[in-house]
Amino acid sequence: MRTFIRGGRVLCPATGFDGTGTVVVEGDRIAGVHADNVEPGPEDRVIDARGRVVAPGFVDLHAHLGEPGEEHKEDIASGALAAVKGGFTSVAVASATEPVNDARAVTELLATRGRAVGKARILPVAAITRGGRGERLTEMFDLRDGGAVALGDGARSVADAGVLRRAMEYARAVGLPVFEHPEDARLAGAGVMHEGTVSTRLGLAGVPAAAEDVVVMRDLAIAEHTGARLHLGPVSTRGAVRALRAAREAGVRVTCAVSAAHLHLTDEAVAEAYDTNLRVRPPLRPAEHVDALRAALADGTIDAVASGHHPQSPVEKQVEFDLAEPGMIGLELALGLVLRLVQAGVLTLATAIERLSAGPARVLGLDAGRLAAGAPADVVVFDPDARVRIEAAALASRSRNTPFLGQALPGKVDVTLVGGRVVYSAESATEVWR
Amino acid sequence: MERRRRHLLDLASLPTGEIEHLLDLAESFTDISRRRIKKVPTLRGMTVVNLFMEASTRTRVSFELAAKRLSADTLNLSSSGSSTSKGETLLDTARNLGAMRPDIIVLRHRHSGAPHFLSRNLDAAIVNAGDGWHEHPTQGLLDCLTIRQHLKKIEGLRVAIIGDIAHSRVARSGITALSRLGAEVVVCGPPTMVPPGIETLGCTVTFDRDEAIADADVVMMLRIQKERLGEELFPSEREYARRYGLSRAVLERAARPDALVMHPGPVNRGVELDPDVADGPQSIILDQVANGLAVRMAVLYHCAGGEAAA
Repeated sequence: MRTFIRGGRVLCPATGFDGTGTVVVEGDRIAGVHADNVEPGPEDRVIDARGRVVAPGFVDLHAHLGEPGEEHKEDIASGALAAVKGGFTSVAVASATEPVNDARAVTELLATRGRAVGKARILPVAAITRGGRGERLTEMFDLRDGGAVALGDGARSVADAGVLRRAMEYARAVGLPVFEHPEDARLAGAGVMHEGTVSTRLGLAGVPAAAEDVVVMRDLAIAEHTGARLHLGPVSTRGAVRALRAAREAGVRVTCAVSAAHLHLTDEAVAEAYDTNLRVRPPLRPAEHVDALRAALADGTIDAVASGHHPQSPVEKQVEFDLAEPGMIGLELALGLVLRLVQAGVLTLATAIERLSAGPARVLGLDAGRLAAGAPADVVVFDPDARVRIEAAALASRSRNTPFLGQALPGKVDVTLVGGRVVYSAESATEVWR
Repeated sequence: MERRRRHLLDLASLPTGEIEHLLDLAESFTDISRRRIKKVPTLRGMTVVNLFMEASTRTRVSFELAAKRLSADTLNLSSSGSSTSKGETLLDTARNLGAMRPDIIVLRHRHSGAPHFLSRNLDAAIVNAGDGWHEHPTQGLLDCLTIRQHLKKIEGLRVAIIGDIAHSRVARSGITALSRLGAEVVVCGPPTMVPPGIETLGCTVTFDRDEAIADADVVMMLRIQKERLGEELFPSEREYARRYGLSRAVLERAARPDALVMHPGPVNRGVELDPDVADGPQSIILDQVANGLAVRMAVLYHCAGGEAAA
């Protein structure tokens, strides 16, 4: 049996296809993409995509899914469902689990759970140092063989430049990119938001933009020295963007991601009511940084938009701002936030889709993010003009920590296919067609 | 009797007219403490909870006495004696208190924004008695009242605030209130203690103490927290005292002879303020304490919806 996705606007930035057409799926692969109308046989399944966009499934580079260790916030089942509901067909899961994903057993657990759940592909990012403590290297070959797609210490950078240098050197032989969340722990100190006028007014400890900039610049220098594949993300400052541009021109192998929320929210939002949903890492920055991120996303300096999905329960959020754990959910919001940029004229729809699919796939060296014969049949069908009101009860994620509750975002995912299987359809979020 | 409860979370969000109104109200309450019977029935039957989750003596005592002089029933909880040491969250503590239907909760908390957090989750009026580095509204009001009593106005005065501005809620409330009432405020400290964008509250910045106090009508010294030495905000107490402290010699050399000296207390004698200045003729520190009581009476009255009933 084949699946025909017919009548929609097929938009694949990787191949340049943009027009009404039919995507034919056979087994777990795409059999073909046709501009003309292809008639299905009587045995074939048809997905009517008229009025919809048919795009490569999205690839998320930065998500926390709670499992193992923090299942009260999220687990692979709820997180992977939230992913496909948001159009993500692959999700790179940060190593900051409990225990830390620094051993093959944990990596394999994530991969196995992901397969058992059978929604989005779960791609473990393994720690690059044991326990994520930044001291001793992990067994990177073993982690790769267990399914790790990248190496990085979760929401922190390797503090010791000497350790990072060795880690990057070693990772070259392993063939995996090194993920760094750029933030200098000493400069960040006890900061809970961007350091600037707003933090001063609110009396909150700040994280200066320089805390990110120094690590970006250091990491770029070490990447240039070692020749490793460095990925920085999520980034949040214009200093990071400036350094990235210069490094790219110098030929450094570096990629970069930004989280969707950081393309919209500024530190001013915190001033309204000390809303702990706005406590995130990296922190929300002032408008001049947001503008720089948007420009860099448009011109390709930033390769990918990540969900930045970091679920937290009320236990972590219904507390004083200083005591709240950082994070907001993003898997079910990222498409809408990116489409807002399309509406605002910041991105074309094709670029928006590229930054959600082919861009992040390239970061990981993944065979994904394109609609072409022979490619894995990871496809999303969405209505870019529909508006979806973000409501707590309707979220697939187990957590509700987002400041966008009650807001209407553009873009409604109708069908998501992973490996040729419909893993989500809007009519019935729980229904799976096999 | 219909009463409309009001929060006092910070001075930044309080209209200037209300700041002036509270000062006038406080002025009218100063008289009560000079009577033989220092008690009025204004808040009889109302309950004021003093929830102090950070060490404080003078502010807590001042609020307690203010409530008692207005005949309210008071309940004092401090963090050492409360459930928080057992791991209870602020929200649970507050909700449990809220279930007993207090009219006003006076909150002192070491985290900025804690009063705002409570105000969203409770019915009682919340009075901020100091939150983190954010604001200490009643301190700002009592500073204004004290200056106004001595100099008969605030508009046009030059006020220097010297010390650790970055970690000071007193500075933020003071700058906000004084600048709104027309004073020219200059803040001064080493750059490690002056936070970015403080000018947006309504002040100018200098790192030079003598420049700050020249021509000042009022010099407000802030307490330096010795714990901060470890954070490398200043090299030593000795150097701090010399460059940013106020001694008799500095006062005589750099300030006007009629400049008033203030301090929110408690004073680190010999660090930010020399004893002979703290106790000298230009010091109005004890007037600040006395006015604190009147201001807190006014704030409790106001937040309980007093004027609506009157």
